[in-house]
Amino acid sequence: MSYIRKPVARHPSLRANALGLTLRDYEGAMSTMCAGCGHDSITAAIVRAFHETDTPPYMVAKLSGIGCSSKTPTYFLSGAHGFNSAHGRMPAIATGAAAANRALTLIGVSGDGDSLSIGIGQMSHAIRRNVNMLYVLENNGVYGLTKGQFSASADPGSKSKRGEPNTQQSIDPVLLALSLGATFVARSFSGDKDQLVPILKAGLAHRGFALVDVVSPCVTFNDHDGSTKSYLYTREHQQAAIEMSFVPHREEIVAQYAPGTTREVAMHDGSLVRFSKVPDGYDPTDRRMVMDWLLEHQRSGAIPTGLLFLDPDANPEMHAASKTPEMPLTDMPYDKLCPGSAALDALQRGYR
Amino acid sequence: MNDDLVIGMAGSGGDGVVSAGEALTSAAAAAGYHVIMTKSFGSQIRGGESSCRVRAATRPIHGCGGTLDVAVALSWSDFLKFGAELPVGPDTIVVHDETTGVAPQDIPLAGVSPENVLAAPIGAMSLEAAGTERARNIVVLGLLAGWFGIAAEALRRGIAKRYAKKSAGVLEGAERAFDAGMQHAARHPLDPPRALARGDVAGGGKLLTDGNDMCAAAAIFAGCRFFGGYPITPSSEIMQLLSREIWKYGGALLQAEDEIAGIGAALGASFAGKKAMTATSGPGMSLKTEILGLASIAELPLVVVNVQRGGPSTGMPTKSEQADLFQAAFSAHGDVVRPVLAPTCVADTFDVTVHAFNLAEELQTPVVVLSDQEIAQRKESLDPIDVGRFTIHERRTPTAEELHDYRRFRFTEDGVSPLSHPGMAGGAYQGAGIEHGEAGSPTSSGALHARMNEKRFHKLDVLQARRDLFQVEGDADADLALIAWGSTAGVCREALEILRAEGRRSKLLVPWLLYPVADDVYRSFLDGVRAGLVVEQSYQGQLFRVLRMYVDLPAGVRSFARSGANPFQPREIARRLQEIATPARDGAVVAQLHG
Repeated sequence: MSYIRKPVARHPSLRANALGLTLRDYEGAMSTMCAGCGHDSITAAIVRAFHETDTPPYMVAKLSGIGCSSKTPTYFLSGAHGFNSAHGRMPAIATGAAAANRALTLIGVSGDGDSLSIGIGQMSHAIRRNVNMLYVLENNGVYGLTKGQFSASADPGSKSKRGEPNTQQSIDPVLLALSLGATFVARSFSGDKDQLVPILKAGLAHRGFALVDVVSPCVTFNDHDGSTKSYLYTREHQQAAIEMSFVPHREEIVAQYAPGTTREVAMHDGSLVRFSKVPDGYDPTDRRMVMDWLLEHQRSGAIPTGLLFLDPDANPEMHAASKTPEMPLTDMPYDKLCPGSAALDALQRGYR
Repeated sequence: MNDDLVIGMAGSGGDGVVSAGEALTSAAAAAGYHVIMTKSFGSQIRGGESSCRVRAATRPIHGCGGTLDVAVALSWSDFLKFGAELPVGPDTIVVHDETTGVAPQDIPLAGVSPENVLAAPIGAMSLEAAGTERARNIVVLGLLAGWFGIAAEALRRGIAKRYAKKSAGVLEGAERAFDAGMQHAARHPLDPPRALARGDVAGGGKLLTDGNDMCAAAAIFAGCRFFGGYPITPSSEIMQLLSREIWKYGGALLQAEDEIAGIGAALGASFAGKKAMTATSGPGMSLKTEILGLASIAELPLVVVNVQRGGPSTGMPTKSEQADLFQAAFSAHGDVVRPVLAPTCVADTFDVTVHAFNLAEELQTPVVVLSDQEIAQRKESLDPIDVGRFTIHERRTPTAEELHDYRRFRFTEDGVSPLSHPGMAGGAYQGAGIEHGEAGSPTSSGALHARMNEKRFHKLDVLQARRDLFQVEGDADADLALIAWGSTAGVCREALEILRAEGRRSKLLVPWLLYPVADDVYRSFLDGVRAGLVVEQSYQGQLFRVLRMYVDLPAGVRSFARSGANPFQPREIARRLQEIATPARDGAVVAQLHG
């Protein structure tokens, strides 16, 4: 396993954010992905999203499971804690970390094997609990680290590098998340950073589980003719159906709708998601409509992308549902937390 | 006067024998007796047979006792279903409802003396006193209080408390049913009398609780602020108590979607800086094993409780066994670090759980607590826990200076490196299941892997000197010895009393720390021992086998092990030790007995 620290180089023209940090401060070690891997583009988008949202790196926990995608947290935010855990178990680790310190910004990076096969139960329950985290699913349809087996998101008929077609149904994380009651569901393409960055920023602002499924072609095992997860196929079939912009809470929110804007959704932190283009009759806050629309439009092989569904109030976030104290558990001093012998005596009286 | 009384009761689901046993147990504890209660059910949730066993004594007791002194059978067929769990003998007094019409010599309990069989109109008394047969269990309490002198006043108070919220008629009916039982006993006194001596109420009576509740209470006391788990018999009560209590102390609890998520979330909370625990039983432990390995290599504190049940697989989920020691010590891929501790009774479950948290935090490693169904679910009287004897330890966090050049897995003298958590500026590191260097960056270097393994195992060296995690009882220079762990240790404490009362100098070693094996402790304990038994409830004799891996056991030390469900009896252990000791005198038989 190689690990290459990136040389520190600061160009005077690099823009500093509100914390005085430049984009460089949000980068990590050198990537060990294959040249051209979609994951590296997503890493770059994540770096931008954190920089542009002025997130202090030390308040971020980067969580991942096992797989190519799960290695990538090393390649962004070297100033943040990371935990590259066990295959399929990142959602549980994230739940515990969120419970222990609600002030953290959690980002989980996973892949289609990690999230849709070995860890589908854990991802489903993290959605059900509405853990406050940005969950990026880097979706390429194959197991890369083990050299190219089909994953659960491989489309039926999509061909492997050796030409064999996949015969099984695929699992669509977007439809799965919608049916599980997710409050923020997006799909994007690693090759479309203009679309991806605002989605990631909105996902960071979202209070609850934000699923961002990103089609991220595997240049080594799944970028050939006949694959439905190749760059070419994705470019040809991507349909940027929903366009939106993210307005952070510190910017003055002008009541007037921008031209062509169809809808604005207020986030819990005061920021705003402004939908500027949606298909006729499409309501991104109507779960049933969104599911019907996706089923209808995906039938032909189209890959609709964008922030497809957003309803910050559809379900309470995990801490709100369990009414935990506002102060993060990690900040509570031990003497406040230790019940002491008086409380133990009271407990013991119950045993008499 | 008796100083020790064992009562067994069995009936159908609706007969209320278990609630009668609970009432008797609470009253006995309030009246200052040492008391232990176990209950047993068929596998049905409702209906079916149920039984309980209550042992009350005026001196400390360590197990639920052997042959019953009193057997209460509300139904013969239900009683017989419990077979060896409710053994009777010639001195057992059998109480049954006379409506069954069975003559004393015909009762279906082998070995009982006909003159000890007492038929009472239990159903009729219940009907007359309370207008219903549902008060039969209260009549039984009256009979027991009358004949055996146990805690009549406390029982009466208990009944008043229990029925206080019901209508006045129900409470009065219950009180009349109890009095009817007492009066029947007074009219038909036992000859000779079998009453139990009075308990010592000087300390204001005793607490009554079980091992699972003690484990949960100790976790809160030790600073545990996150619990992740999944319901599984017989450990669920730990989660249940914490789900009520942990929120009061600023903690949080997750009833997870599966066993893996339970331990995963606990590990996540530990990574984020809080003390965390999960609890399960054998099958759940199997599922958690992968994360146990992750906790070990990521060097994160974590307490994992396994309340053992009969196995493998579904096995006997409501019965006790000690057959998960191999799993606790060895189940993993790779060289995994995790001390294993085992409590031996309800009271010391508190101590062991606090030690587990302290060790986990100090050594930055997962610690397994191996409890078992017997102590986890039995009710036991105990004196209030004096928390003054505990010191709570916290994980070592980096100093401001260490944060300047923070290396999460820095090589240190004792192997323990400062541990930061997310939100600690300057303390960022990449935690991982992958092998890493001092700063946490991934490596595939064999040399670094070897050094890191050495570092992780070196942390455990301090355990070799922890004599406080062992108890030695009896005659220090004895040449007869017992070694026992978990709930079997209590039975061996009583076996030791029997042996010493018979004039056999003998001693007992009880380890709380099972793994890593502190070989010096065993070596010095076994020095000069001519005959010894390692007593445990597993088919394979797992502790004996583990000891043989690490300690040169003297030739006269052998395994006394059998499968779970039915506890050992003190007398059979004392007898077995005498058996292997006796032929050893001529020096011939020892070798063939060995192992």
